[in-house]
Amino acid sequence: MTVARAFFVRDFRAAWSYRFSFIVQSGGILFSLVSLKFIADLTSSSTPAALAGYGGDYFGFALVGAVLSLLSYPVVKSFAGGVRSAQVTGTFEAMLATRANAAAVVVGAGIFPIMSACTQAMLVVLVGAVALGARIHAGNAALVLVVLSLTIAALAGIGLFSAAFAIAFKQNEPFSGALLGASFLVSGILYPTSVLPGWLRHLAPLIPTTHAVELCRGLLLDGAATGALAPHFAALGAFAVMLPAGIVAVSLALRYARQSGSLSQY
Amino acid sequence: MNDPMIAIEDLHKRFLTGSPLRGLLGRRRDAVPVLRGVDLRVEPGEILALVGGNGAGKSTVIKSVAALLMPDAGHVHVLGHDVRRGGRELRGQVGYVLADERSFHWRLSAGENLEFFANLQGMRGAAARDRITSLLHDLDLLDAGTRPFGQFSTGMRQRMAIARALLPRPRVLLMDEPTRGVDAAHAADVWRLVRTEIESVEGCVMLVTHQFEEALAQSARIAVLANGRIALDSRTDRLGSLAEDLDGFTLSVRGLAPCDLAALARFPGVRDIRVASQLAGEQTLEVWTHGSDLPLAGFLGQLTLSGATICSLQRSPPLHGILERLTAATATCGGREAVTA
Repeated sequence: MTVARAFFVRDFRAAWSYRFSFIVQSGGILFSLVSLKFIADLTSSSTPAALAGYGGDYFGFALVGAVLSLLSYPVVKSFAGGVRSAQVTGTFEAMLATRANAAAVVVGAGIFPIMSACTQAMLVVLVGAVALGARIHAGNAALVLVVLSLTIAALAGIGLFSAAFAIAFKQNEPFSGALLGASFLVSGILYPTSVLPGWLRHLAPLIPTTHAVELCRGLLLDGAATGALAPHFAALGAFAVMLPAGIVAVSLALRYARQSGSLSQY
Repeated sequence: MNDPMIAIEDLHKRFLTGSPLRGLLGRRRDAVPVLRGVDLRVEPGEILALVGGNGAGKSTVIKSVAALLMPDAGHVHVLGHDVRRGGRELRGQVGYVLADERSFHWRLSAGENLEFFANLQGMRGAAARDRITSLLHDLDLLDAGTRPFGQFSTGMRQRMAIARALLPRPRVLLMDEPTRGVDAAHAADVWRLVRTEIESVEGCVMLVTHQFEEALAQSARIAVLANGRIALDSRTDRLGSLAEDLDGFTLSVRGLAPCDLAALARFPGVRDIRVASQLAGEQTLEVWTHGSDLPLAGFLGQLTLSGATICSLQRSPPLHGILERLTAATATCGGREAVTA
């Protein structure tokens, strides 16, 4: 816990030193949210059939998708980003020379970005529901937290594989970025997967975000059908195994870097 | 005799060239051997200086001791533990001053940076704060403790690296160019603190440096790394008398003809002169003298009269020159064992 706390405090202090950037970024998110509301208002007079299973409110539908998209990027990217930044500044070697567990040093880099993204996500949902009228109900909040935990575990696993690549090869890999792009396209972030062409629809279940979005909408949106959520729970649970697998990958990459001498190179 | 705190036996290390991705794609990567069987021991209470030219493998040795590099062959034992299996407890007893003084978070203050690394060492609360304050004070950084690290000078950054390494009161202190960029007064403070800290825990220091004078002044033993092996391992007091005989300086000149070079070699007080390198018409000369007997003004006058232009003069002789001569001198009196005894 001391290591996790150390990383959180360090990154909070660094983020606090960029207060203006934080305000601009938060403002950008709010602008996007309001834009989404205006787009949703265009569809308010006639609910598309594809949204019937989600309670019929497009704003609530898109809000949940956007929040999960907002969450995905830092969870997937922060570990490798932290490793690359530490490699370039020379702090990576200094951190690994301490008593701290080496894998914990890599995982630690993701703690603040992920917690920060979770806080932003909660605020976006709150603003969307209270100020902009999204039809959200909080009755399943505990289950939603379970879903979010599984989602973070699954995406963090992918992020740790990405970090392992950065440790071993001293460069960012292109796959996680492609995955995030694909997830925006096929996971049903802004439209239901049912509107996708058949061949593209088959890709959707292969991405953890698809199941997370379906589960969150089923649990959060008023009037959404909750009958078919169990398979999505099972799928997301299976994807969560990526987390321990990612930690193993990081350990193997560190061993390789210690042997090859690339630990201190960038 | 006590067990050594650091014991390096037959350490071999080579590095592959090119990107590791080339290897994954089945392309050939050449291997560059850096260490070819290094043997070295550091005893309790001892300060050992490891010196050698650029690329000799000094940092590779020190990183192997810090468990940041794993040997290809041979063994490295620190405090009796094999570094391959030493783990966290061992790392907590080893302090490592990195050669890269940038290795902090530039937006955070000195105190915040040290607090972060103290936490990684398992130190918390008042104990961590007191230790940080004490180190900042001893290294003359207390007044700057709340300033962002990015505003620090090179010397201040280097002193921060020393403070970080000393945080957990390590028994084994590894220092890679610790006083590079540090002014003489602060360098003296650094060494006073290092000695106090190491004595209090009955520890040892392995110092890697290019500054031969620092190695002579601070260490009890000097080991010279050349061609991937320890070419010389000697007590400093024995080496000091040899080094006194190695006075000289380095000159950069333009337009010096070979016949003029031969004439300069016969100048009174000159023991030897040679062209160390030649680049874009500029020659770097190593001039070795008999102690301080050389009348420098006369020597430079003759050089100018020969038509050469003097670009720069460095009073101390180059490290690689000293190392070559020391290694050669000790080899003639029986090699490594003879001077170690």
